[in-house]
Amino acid sequence: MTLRRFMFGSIAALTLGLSPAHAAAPDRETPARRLTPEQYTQIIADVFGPAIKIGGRFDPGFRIDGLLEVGASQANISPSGMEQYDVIARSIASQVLDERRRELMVHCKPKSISAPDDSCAGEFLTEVGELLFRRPLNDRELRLHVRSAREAAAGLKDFYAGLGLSLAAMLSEPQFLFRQENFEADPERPGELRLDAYSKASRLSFFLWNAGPDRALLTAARKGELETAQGLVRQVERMIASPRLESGLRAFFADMLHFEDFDTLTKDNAIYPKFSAQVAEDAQEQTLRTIIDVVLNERGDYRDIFTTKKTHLTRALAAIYQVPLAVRAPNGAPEKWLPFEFAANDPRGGVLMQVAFVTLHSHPGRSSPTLRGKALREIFLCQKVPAPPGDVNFTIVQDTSNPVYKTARERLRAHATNPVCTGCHKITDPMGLALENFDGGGSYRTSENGVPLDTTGELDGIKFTNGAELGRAVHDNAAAASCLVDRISAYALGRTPAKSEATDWVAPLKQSFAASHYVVPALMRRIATSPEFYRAAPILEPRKEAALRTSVEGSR
Amino acid sequence: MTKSHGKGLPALALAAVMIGAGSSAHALETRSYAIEWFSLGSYSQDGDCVGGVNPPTREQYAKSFELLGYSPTDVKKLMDDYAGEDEIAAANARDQLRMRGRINGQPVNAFVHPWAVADPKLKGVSGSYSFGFDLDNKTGADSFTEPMTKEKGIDNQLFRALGCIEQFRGTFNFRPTFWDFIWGSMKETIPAWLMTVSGEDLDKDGPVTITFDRAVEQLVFGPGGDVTPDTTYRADPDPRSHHVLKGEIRNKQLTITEHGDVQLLLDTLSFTEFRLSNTHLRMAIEPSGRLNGFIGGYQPWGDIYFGIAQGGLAYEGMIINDIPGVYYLLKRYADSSPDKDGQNQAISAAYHIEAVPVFVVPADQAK
Repeated sequence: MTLRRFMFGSIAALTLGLSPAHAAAPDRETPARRLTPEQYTQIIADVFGPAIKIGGRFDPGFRIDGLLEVGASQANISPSGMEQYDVIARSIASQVLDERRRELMVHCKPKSISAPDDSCAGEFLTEVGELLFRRPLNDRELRLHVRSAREAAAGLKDFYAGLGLSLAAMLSEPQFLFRQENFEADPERPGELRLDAYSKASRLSFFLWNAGPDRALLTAARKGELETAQGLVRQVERMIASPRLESGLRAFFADMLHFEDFDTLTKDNAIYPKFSAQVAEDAQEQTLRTIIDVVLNERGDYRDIFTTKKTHLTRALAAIYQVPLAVRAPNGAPEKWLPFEFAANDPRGGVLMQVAFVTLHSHPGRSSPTLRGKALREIFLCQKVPAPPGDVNFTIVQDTSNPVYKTARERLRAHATNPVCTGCHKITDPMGLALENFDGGGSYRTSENGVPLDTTGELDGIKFTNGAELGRAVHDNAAAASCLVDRISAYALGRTPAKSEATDWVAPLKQSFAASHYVVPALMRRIATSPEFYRAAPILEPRKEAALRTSVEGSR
Repeated sequence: MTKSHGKGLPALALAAVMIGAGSSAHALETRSYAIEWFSLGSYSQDGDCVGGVNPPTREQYAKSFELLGYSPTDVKKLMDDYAGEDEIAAANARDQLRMRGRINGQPVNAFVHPWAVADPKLKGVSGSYSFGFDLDNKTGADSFTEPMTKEKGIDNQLFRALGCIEQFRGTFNFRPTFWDFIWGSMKETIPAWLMTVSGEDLDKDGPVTITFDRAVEQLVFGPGGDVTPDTTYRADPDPRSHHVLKGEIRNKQLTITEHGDVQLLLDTLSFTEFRLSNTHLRMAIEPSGRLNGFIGGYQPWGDIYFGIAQGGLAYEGMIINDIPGVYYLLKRYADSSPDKDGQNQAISAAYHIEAVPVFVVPADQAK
């Protein structure tokens, strides 16, 4: 088999939608999740170093049940996406094995650089293959890759070029591009399945670090340590204590907050002159830094992300918030981050009033109480808001210069006289209107078209008069903490927990989350050390429910 | 109490970081601005240049060759060479133009030695109106009337000197081409110019302190190309660019009441500094929080000439029709600071400036 045929044989399996995991447990939901761009990048950095450049386009993800990570189990690779993977893989292989790096990367020395060397090629491919596939290569895989390296090296009369082609092929294979999980019989529960040791290591590592397992975790898997409670706890504690936990948390919250939508966010610069691509990038980073401070650095109450006055700013963000931020940096230097705390009497605080949330859930040229309220319900409270009917007339809502309806509240009130619309607007707009102090570009305002803003509202019986009080209402709403547990458990599994899991596993997680004062790393520890996390999904439930659970909320 | 300059935000305790808060017994409100637009205060009207504006560059060049004694045939050939495709001939013509000064009969650079070039006798503005200020409390034959305030006795001889050169012509809303070009290129590379206004309540009439500083940072622009409001700048601790003057706010107009000196360092490659004495200011405080108006005073005209002359033949070919001619215009219309020979060394001037609200902090408070 030629190298090309070898590579595209793998590709064909992918594009035909074949997943090896399905063969492992045909009557189960056994997701093989496509690596996210961040995971792909992190693995390459971990295996070959951060200097390796990854240039190319990744296929967009699917969001299912509020998470891209759940959608990743449904994601295939398009033909053009596969071409991109191939381009990226060849570029990586070429960088890894170029003359400057090859001695660092390949620990053996070939007998000749112009001829094949199966021994040295095998040593290199075994070593990196385990890290790329998140498990040791089996004999067949190793033989195939060594043969590819040999044939290419012989043809090209270059050992490293041959090895590079084999490495590129490995980087294009489903075993690398997809997080494939393998199951074995569960000795604790006769008739049931659990992840095998390497799949367990992989699931754990992607959950906590958003990266493939490191050598220590793979070694623990090989030695069977993950099959003992003590061994598992030791690895979980090691990983939770690692600075890499921040990467895992960032990935989870970026997913939960729909930050991939920033890739397509546009703003009318004539209306929002301060909003730039840099601001969009900084805004996401600000919210992530705020959350990481609360949930990780301070090991604080998750719900405080809705009320905290502490954050981090760049000069560009400070201009939007209209606060001074003196940064010591030369002209033209990258934006520097500084910690910042809003005054106690400042109306701003919490992630709902940050630039990321209010701009992402607005239109290009105007704010949107409806989009903001919908996002708040769906993202932070896990409540589904129905999509509007297809024949709604939005003319009044969109007319921000309407001489009669000068504020969004007035326009929405006029719009909601249509009974078809009233139901949904009732559950979104009261919260969204509380955020009307922030225009579609994130800047603070107290009036619209000269009319003072009325930012009062109500959330599940709790009344508020402004965004800050809304933040407190969300903080105190039981659905906020419950939603976080729902999201993080689905994120960990890569699928929405089945009904039985929701009852037997997620519900107790919620109780323990509350009992541990809503500390997220403690929740992650509990998930990572629970047997349920490593079990195969229950037998597929009746089709109706399953279909409901996997309804695709939308693609990017 | 110090307020944020931003509209709509409640009071924030910024006193600790704001420049100009001072140590007055009364708490001061401070608002700071970055100057985003700066140009000659031109008020060009039809008919304000007798017989039309000064000729364009090529006509001036032909005249320069004539003044050097070239025959009409030679002048035509040099001008054809100047505009022709023969690169060597064109370079020769350009050299002749560049070196059209004569000292002891020897060619010298006309831009460095403009006095070594015969005065081409460019014309100045003869109209009656100009933006600016009454700097000497006199109304004389060369005084203008201010078109907005209708005040008489306005001194703006810089406009009179340059206002008949096409690229310096403009109005309040139509920016002179020269300044569009020069400020447009400078504003992205020079440190920002800052103004800070402090007073008891800046929404009311009353005395204020106006501080001028140069920033450490360059202006920050948004994606649309406009200066981004509310950005924070550090004030350069260099005392040469720090000036504090007394002023007042009356009817939403900010003015200077004690007319001192202002010096702001500029671009070392063009206008090296901006120096004004007897500084006057009149800026409207717009509802958006921006300032829009004029700054004026007496300016050493040598600063202006060499700022223009540094562009040499490139500027002359593109935007200024006769740079030594500008030298003679400035010298002719200068109206202040006579030297021992009676030649005035300064010229009354007014510049249109616009400023956006920003934050200004001392450089040493940055992190």
